[in-house]
Amino acid sequence: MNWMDSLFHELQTIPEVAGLAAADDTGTYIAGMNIDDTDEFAALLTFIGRSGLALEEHLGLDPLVYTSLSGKKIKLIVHRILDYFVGIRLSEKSSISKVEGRINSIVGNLDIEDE
Amino acid sequence: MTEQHEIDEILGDIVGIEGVTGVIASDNRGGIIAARMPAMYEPETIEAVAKRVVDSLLNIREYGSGADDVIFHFENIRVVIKNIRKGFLIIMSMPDMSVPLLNISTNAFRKRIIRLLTFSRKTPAKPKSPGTETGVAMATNGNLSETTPVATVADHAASLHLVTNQTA
Repeated sequence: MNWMDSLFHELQTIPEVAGLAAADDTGTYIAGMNIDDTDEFAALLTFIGRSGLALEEHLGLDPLVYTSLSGKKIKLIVHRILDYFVGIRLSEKSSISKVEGRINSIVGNLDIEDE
Repeated sequence: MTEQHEIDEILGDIVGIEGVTGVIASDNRGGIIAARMPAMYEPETIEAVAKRVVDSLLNIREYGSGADDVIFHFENIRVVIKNIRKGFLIIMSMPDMSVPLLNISTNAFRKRIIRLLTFSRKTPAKPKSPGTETGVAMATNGNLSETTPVATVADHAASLHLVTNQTA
């Protein structure tokens, strides 16, 4: 998928980005880079994404844009793009609030109209 | 004042923060400790949300990610999940409220709830007569006052202890 290649290429330019992956609704790993445990990571992305979609449905909210997850061992942003969950793993010392604006800008400017 | 009422008051303080529209305190099993949510949400909805959120967080923990905070960003609202050790705080805020500001505004309240839950764990459970469940009604903005009692504070504390033991 051209949009995914393009997206990964742009996201890689952000120094705080440590790894990338995309998963589909079934939790299947589609593509990625610098992720060791691809199957588990894909499952995590789909699980987080589905949780957000469930909240959206329960609470009658407008569409889910993205999810951020932070802890001692992981900093992760998960975007919903078309039918995929795209996970951006950040370096442990990075700050999500400082990076998410740049990531959102890249995702927001993604050209997926022709896909 | 009971721990339950104190937690309810704290949630009232959190909802009073500009940009915060609702908050739920749940235990580690998704049971509601207290909630201050917009009037449009039925108790069943709030319970379903809490259970779903807690299930998600516990499963994410299983993955080994050790997530402390999870934030779901929707177009019209942000849902922030904060770990309170013996449960979770689920905070709904406006999307334009800065997350660091939200953290600073709520951290003191979060710590007070953690202290209260820790203290209630040490409170010996009082024997309960059959059929006289005093209950912890879900605290709300007033429209959901007829909610089903969940448990006594002592019961709740006991359940937290069990959960703690299970997840240790």
